[in-house]
Amino acid sequence: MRNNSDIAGNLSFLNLADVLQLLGSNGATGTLKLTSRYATGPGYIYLSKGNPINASNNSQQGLEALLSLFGWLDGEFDFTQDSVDSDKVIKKNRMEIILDALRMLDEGEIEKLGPVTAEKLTASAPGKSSSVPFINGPLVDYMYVVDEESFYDGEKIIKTGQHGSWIWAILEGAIDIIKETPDGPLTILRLGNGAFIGSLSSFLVQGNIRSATAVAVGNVQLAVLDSQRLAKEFAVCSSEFRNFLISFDQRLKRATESAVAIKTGNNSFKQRLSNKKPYIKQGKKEQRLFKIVKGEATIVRKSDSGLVPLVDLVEGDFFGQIPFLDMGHEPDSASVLISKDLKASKVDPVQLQKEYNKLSPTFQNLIDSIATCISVTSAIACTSQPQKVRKQ
Amino acid sequence: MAVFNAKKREIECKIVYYGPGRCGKTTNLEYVHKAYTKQVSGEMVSINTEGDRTLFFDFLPMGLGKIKDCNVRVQLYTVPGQVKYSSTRKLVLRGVDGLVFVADSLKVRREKNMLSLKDLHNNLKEYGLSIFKVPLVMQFNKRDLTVPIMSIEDMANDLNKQLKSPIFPASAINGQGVGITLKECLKLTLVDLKRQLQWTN
Repeated sequence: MRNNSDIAGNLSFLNLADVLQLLGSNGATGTLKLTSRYATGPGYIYLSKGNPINASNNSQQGLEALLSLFGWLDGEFDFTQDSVDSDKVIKKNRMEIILDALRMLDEGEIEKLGPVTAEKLTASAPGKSSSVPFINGPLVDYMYVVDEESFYDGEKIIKTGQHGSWIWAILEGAIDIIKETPDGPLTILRLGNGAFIGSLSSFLVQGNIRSATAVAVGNVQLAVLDSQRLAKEFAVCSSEFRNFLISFDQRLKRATESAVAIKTGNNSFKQRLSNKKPYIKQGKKEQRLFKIVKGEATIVRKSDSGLVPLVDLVEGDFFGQIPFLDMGHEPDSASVLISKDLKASKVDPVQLQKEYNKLSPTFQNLIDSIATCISVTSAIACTSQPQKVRKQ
Repeated sequence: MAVFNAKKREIECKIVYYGPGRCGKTTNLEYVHKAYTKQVSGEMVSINTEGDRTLFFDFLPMGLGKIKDCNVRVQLYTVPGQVKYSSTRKLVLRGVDGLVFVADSLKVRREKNMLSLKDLHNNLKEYGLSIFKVPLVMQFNKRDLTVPIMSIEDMANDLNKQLKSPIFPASAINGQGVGITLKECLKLTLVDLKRQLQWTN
């Protein structure tokens, strides 16, 4: 895809402000394309002699679109030199746009899109709490698709408690992930193109039980993935890596339960944190990775609304820095509290990284997609933390 | 670190005005923009940030000579001090080549000055820079005021004991001391750049 591009890279390394300054001081003319898996579609910025003249971000156009793109903290940029025939819609000075956009970003006027860090997602927008986070994935690799299925608006694709081990990827459309709660069904996430439905535990036992309900929003086209092929890939991994993946998969379920508990207000907050003491503090540069041998731990994030428990970990689970994953539970965005009887062993992250690199792109995407869901779910937990426990 | 633009044969460097809110950073830059029209290229960008304004414009110092046959273009910035403007501060302070610390001479602002300088120190550290190494010039502003102001000696004692930077009294609102502060900062910055260049050559 990058055949014609003149400069391309990752926004988490070089952010839009830097990219625009770089293109600006080179007097570049052409199209800057931004893609993010957290956005519904790509964004475009048209430059003439180094100055942005127009932009689009899905339904937005012009300056409004350009400013909104500064919120894309994670994603790819791709600049291609060409003659731009767009009208000069944006007339503001380049540096003015950049400085103004950063001010708006800092004041919370521009919504941030990206893996959710300690800085919270959109706590600044309580009015928007009804909107459901949206997750996209990468392109679906047809090598792994065995069949396609269509669902109509409102149709249930999977139901909580049902047995089933299919894994789908969304080709077109969107689906809502819904959890059953005592107060009725609760929509947690909306998945879009490229996102996966199903979990890794499908490879484990016959008859995996679905932990949530998936409902089509509009008409949806799904790709049925070759689970046998994926299962085979899973089977040849080392037992260490398999255990890691299973624990990782379980983590999404437990993080979701934790978020739902907070959202519905019936959390046993104090109970979960009592008898536990801090082990790794949020923001600490901790490069090691641990596996729990005995005892319990809780991953906790410090947010504007106080401490928020994200997930409880038990024997066999991992905490610390995982090099290839970004799920918002790493030491730079969350603390680890441990029980008194905790025993943990060190794990070599390099070995895990090697095994991860050996996996097929589809399998890697599946893992990344789970990590994104964990990250977003944790952010939901933080923004739904009720007032009464904020003092902690 | 300055940016070299081979196409335009230009060296682009960055000078940032730092100081507590309402100390006169903006007034300094506004005066430069107004008084040195020939050397200013492009319009002044002004962004309203809480309690302060963030300013930016390009400046082409004349009579300072060339480095390696390249013209020097200076970007002048002010930066909002509040904690929440971290993205803006990062953009502005990263790769800064020279600094002007503007201190407020008013007695009541004594503590604010010291806090702001400490802030600058911490912020620079975050971007891998040292306040002792980046070329820095101090300006004690508002010398014209009749309300109680601190003596230059007291202020130097507060702020410049360890840094030992050049100090310039000023009254930015009348333009007094503005030019000489910038000139000294430019000089230090260019000397530092030249030193860095020889280092790599």
